[in-house]
Amino acid sequence: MRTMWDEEFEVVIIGSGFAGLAAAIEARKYCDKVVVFEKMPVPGGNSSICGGIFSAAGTPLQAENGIEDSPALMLADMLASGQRFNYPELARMVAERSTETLLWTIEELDVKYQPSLSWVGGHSVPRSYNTWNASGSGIVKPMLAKCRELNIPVRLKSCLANFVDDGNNAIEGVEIREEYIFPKSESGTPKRIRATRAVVLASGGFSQDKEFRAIQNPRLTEDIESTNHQGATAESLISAIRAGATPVQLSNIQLGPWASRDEEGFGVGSLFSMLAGFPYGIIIDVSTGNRFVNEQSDRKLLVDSMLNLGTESIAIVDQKGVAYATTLDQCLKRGVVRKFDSIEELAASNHVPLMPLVNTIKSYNSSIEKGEDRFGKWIHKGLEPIQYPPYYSIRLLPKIHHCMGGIRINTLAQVIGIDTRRPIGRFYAAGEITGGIHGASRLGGNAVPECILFGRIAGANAAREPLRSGHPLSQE
Amino acid sequence: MLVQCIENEIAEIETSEKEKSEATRKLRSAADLLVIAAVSEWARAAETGKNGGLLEKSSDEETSEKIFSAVFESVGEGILLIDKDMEIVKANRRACEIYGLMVQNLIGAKVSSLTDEPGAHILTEFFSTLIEGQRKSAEVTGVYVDGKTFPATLTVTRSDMDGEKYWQIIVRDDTDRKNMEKQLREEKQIIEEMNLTLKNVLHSIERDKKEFENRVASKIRTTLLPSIAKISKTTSDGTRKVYLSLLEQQLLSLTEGFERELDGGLLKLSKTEIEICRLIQAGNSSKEICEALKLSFDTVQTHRRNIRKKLDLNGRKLNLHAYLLNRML
Ligand SMILES: Cc1cc2nc3c(=O)[nH]c(=O)nc-3n(C[C@H](O)[C@H](O)[C@H](O)COP(=O)(O)OP(=O)(O)OC[C@H]3O[C@@H](n4cnc5c(N)ncnc54)[C@H](O)[C@@H]3O)c2cc1C
Repeated sequence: MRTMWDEEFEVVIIGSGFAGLAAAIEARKYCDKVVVFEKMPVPGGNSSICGGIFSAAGTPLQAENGIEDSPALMLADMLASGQRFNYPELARMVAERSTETLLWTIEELDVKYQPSLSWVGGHSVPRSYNTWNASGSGIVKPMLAKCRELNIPVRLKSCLANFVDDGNNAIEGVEIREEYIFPKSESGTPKRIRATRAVVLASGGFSQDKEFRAIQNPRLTEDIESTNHQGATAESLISAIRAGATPVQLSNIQLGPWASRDEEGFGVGSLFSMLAGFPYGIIIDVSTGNRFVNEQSDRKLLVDSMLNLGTESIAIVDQKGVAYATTLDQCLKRGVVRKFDSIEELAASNHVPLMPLVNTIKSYNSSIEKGEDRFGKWIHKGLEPIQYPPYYSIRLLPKIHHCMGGIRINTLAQVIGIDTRRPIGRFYAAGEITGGIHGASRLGGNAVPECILFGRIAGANAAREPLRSGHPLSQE
Repeated sequence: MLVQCIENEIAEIETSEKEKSEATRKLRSAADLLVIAAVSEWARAAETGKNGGLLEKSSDEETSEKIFSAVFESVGEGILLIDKDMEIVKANRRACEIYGLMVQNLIGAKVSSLTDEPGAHILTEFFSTLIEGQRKSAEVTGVYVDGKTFPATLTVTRSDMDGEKYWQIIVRDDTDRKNMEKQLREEKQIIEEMNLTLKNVLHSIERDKKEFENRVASKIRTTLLPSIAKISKTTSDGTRKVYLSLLEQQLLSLTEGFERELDGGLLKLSKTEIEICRLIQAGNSSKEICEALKLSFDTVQTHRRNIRKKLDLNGRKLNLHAYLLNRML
């Protein structure tokens, strides 16, 4: 089949988040003409609004703090929370190369991280770095600056509409809608872009696609909020499936248990719960004042038990625990976290029955002394009883957060065809658009290393595909 | 958006540029006022919403909030609302596009992170000196998400709410305007260059004229004067007549030559043939030509035949004299 092309690049990348930008930067090492297409009017996707938590095993900060860790332990944690839905060969790569990826962001991009580690739910040890500004923008901005330096255009308002194959089980280019206005699917003008080496799909998840996520999991009704950016919709995934990609585990959609009822989306409250409220405080049912779950479980366990409860829940932390929060000032300013001088005031304000709450705290404190918790929270020496005022509370509301499902790739980031079960030629994918790396539930801070690692692999391999010949721009 | 449309309309209207730019300016300041009004209304609505806490908002309040946020979102300029900590508490879609940041990233960010250092100083100065309701503008350097800088105009208005200080900033990305100015500057430069070129051309015409005069002088020296000399030396009447007519012709060619048309065919002629043509042109008979050029009659006749051939006159009822009369040789 002969096609008219409007433009030609060597490597064409769809999506300007961690995965797409890492692919672009890496591809540029091997070839000159690289382009990134982004459908939104602003670059960065979920990556730019994410919490900037980066989990890695065997890092310099762990060594500095005497924390023993290994890729094997990280992999075991991933498989446990993922309930072994994970493709082990892909999960292993994330665990084994997490530190290498972290160091790449420091050495290649000059990303700055806070000097202490966080202990995020589901991880056996503290292994999470935080970007200096507690946001993924702390990584996306240097990536965009790098792209500018390397002359990699990031074309905004350019939406992938279709893949174009060469009739020979390989992708030859894409159809893009230029001057696209999200979310109007018919807006913009179609243009055909040829990739003389390969196409990399890095278009993220679909947590904001109310219709599509309900098709995959009917329990996720449209009134459930999401932490994601508006553009996290499924059309690129559908295009990929149409082009022969293998969809996997699409119903594995994660809700974030730590989000706040008092602000939209991820906001500033999520990090408060994740870094302070859950690891160093307790979660209680407001109707009873009781704990009901190990606060340091992975997200799936937490959300399932919160939803089973059927009532509202809050997290409580004291003056000691609040020290781990990176977003406290903003939380207080926005009224997302509230501060009380006594447990009595906290109970009254949150409509929690006082006596049961006091008893709950007493029994939690004594389990810390005993070194054993009936909900299975791991009692470590950094954990202290809740007893020093002021006390802080946050009202929780699970929100749709991450798509563990997506399209199937292999360890080279090649997209696997559903017909052949072999790689589709010149077609790569990386990041949240891919599926099965995290299985049933992704651990906190594991998306950043995964997206950057596979983005780099996809970019490098795409750029090393043999050049297609011919002068297609003049072809009829 | 609406403002953009009207602006485009204005651009279409057939009137002087000055009137157009005046109209656009008025429209823009009206739009700015509208935006400012909308923002304060919006912020007030948001404030009551927040203070109401868990209480349901009245439907009236909800509608007006919706209207104002619709205005807020759709205006063509970027709008930021800044609080006493110099943090952004509200930003519209256009502001996001101008800085390449998601609204989630703008909210809570220090406004100083959006400009270079001098820009941040100007803002600090505005924040500390503006009184309630007062407005000031400044041109600053904005910073895009990838570090690229761009020219921007910031219009800052202080507008307090519930006893708290707030500032609204209208952000205009001046890249296009600056580009237009640059284009104007470039066009001006082109015109100046063209002026210079014209001057040079005039100069060279002057030079050409001089050259031409020199050429005439030298022609007079090399051809006319020798002819006159020959005339005065010759004894034969016939020959003198020939030279006189030649002289006349040469004088004519000096003055009129440039107006005559140049004929392609003439270029094919040999030197002797041209000489013969000139004599024919001057009205000499073949016999006179024989005498003047010291050639045999037959030779002259052969030359005439060849000339006719080269000028493509064979088979045509046109004598050479008539043909050559108006041509430059
Ligand atoms: C609020 C929030 C906080 C998070 N915090 C953390 C954290 O602290 N640590 C961690 O490890 N993970 C975190 N995550 C998860 C992680 O941020 C994401 O999984 C990751 O950013 C995905 O990167 P990506 O490059 O695959 O996709 P994105 O960053 O989402 O980028 C994909 C881009 O592709 C564009 N796109 C989509 N479709 C098209 C199309 N058809 N044409 C053109 N462009 C298209 C999108 O607009 C988007 O800009 C968080 C996620 C969210 C939402």
